[in-house]
Amino acid sequence: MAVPTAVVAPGEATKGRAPTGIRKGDGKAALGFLTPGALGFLAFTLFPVAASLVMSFFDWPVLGEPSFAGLGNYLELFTTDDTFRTAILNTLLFVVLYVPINIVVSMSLAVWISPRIAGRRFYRVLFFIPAVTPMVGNAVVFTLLMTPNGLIDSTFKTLFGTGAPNFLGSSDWAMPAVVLLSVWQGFGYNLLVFSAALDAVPSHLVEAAEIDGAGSVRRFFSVVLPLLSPSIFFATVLTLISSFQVFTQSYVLTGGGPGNSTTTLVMYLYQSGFQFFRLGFASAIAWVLFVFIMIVTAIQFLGQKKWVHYDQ
Amino acid sequence: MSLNTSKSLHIPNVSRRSLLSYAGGAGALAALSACGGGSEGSSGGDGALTWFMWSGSTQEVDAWKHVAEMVTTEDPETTVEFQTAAWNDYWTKLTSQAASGGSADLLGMQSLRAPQFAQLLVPLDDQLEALGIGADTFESSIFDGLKVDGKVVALPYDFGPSLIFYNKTAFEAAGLPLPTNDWTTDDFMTAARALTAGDKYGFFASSDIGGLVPWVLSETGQAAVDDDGNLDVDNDAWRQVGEWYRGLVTTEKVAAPLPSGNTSSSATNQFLAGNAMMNIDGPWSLINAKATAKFEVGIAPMPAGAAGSRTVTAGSGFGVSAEAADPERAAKAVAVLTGVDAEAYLGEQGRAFPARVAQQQSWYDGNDLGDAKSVMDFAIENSIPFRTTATWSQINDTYARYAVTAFNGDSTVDDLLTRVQSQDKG
Repeated sequence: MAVPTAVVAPGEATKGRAPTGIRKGDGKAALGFLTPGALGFLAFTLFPVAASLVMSFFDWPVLGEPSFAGLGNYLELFTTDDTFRTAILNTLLFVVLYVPINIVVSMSLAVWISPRIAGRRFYRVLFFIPAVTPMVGNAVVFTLLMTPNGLIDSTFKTLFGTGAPNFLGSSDWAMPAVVLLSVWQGFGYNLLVFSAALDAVPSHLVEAAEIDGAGSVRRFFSVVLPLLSPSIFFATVLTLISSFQVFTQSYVLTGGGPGNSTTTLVMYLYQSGFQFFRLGFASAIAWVLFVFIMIVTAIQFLGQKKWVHYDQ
Repeated sequence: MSLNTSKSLHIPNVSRRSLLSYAGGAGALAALSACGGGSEGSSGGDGALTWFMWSGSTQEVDAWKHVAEMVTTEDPETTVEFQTAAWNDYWTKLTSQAASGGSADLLGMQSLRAPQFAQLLVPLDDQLEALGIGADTFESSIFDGLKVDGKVVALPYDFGPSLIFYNKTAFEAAGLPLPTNDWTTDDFMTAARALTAGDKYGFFASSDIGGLVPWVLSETGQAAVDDDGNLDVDNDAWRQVGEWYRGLVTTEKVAAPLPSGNTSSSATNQFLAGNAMMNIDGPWSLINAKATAKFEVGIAPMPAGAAGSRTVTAGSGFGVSAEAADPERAAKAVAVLTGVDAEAYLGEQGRAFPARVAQQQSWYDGNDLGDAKSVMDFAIENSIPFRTTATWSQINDTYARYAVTAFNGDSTVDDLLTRVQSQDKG
């Protein structure tokens, strides 16, 4: 019923009112309220984004004069740069390991604490603690746990007589160690999302299924899970985007090593830009990553029609 | 009908609305300009200088501030404001400040990084005479170590040779003779084997390239960088010693597997915790090691290999920023910061092993380190400056990451050295 508001009564027009529903002068007020945010957006988001796109076509050292490189940075990335290829593979490996594990762990725990079990709120807080502690602190603690002669190694020696693998010093174990830390840190957030969604599942639907003779497994997979699909979609999109941007974990735990085994795209971006001071090259990596994430997210949004149910 | 509701609530007061819009815009502008106006960095020509230097503790900061006051004592018109950051952040911040044109007037510089950051500094050669600085009053290896392309880019305040730190208590408990100035690589191996038991290791194998350089030098006489300033590690000398070093971990098992590519402090920590009985370190760590360790800490020169006992020296100094508004005043300040009084003070406080030869005694006297003198003298005499290249960060970083797999036996030393060599694009 928005139409009548746009229609101007003849009497009003003669009083010199503006011929729209929005009164003259609202624009100024809106401008006033928008300016602070818009300026911030311009200065700290739009300008850097545009600048990085421009920089990606330059050979841009931190010190000294930039020179135009055309597509040189992108060509180097996709043709000669082995590290970049490794970084893409590492990032994909991380995403493929981390996202499903995160969703399964957080969903399982959410389901576990969803019935009215004793201390439910306590568990929610407990599981959320890793998500609010700083990643750097967590990573340092994990380093102490996983280093040779650390807690895990010592425990292994006491229990089994042989030491644990050198998690952070072995090319095979470093990425699983990074994934482990990430899951531990990250599942709490999705758990809260799923937990809230589970609470919102209408009990009459579950009861109806029960009366129809569905067992608890069937009830979960055929009634509850489809009802949770919008939350799962939301959690998957956000988790996927953040996992493409994984950086802190490997930066603190392994420094991208051993070798290049935990060098992810953002890690390589950081190294190129802030250790090797190749800002243009780093910007090119950022844009490649951006396009990656955009494509993956677009695919997810297109795919959601098939499995996400917004109606109850 | 929501629009109608909002209409009825609308207060027809144009002046207030425009006031709001102007106020909002002005507020945002003020906020932006506050963000943009960096107060750090170069000062004007009123005698006020800024000095950017890394530090690791409040005691260190106090010592530097004390030295900064010496500049004002010398010339009451000059004041030095001390700015600082932790070691790792220092180099990032230094770069970003320089890129945005906001460098401090005086900058701390480490000899290993001098080739990389030389363009931030003004060469001081022409001013040395006017400032009354004689090159011969400094230890030549560090005075030369802070030269880039033959030009003095900073004056040194401290330096030190790489040495072997050893756990004296463990040596005595194992009935081993203490390392002397003429001990050899064989003696080192005997000691390392005897000291390795359970999760205690005789030596700490490091993922830092500086941990291998003195071994290669002592065995083959080769450094990491050749006389022309190019990296030269992809050769037989480095491969041979690299293989030997890897053997310490994989076959001899006298050194623990390397933990990860990102734990530069673990060498010192493992030594101080009593898990590694020998480690390569420098005099800058000695006072802290003696104070922290629950055992007696001894130092020895590098064990003699086929080329004798050889080591490298590294150190740090202060230079004048290329962006300094008053370079002359800044150069004078650098002369004071690295002057006789400052060096004597820093030495006595244990903050630095003085780069000025005559003031070195203050370090031994002030910190009860008289017994270290013969080792230090021997090591300094048999040392060369630790030469680096303009791409040292890349080289160091690549070495650190691939040394872990190479020395743990997951990849080859050959692969490590080839990859490191390929980083020399400068």
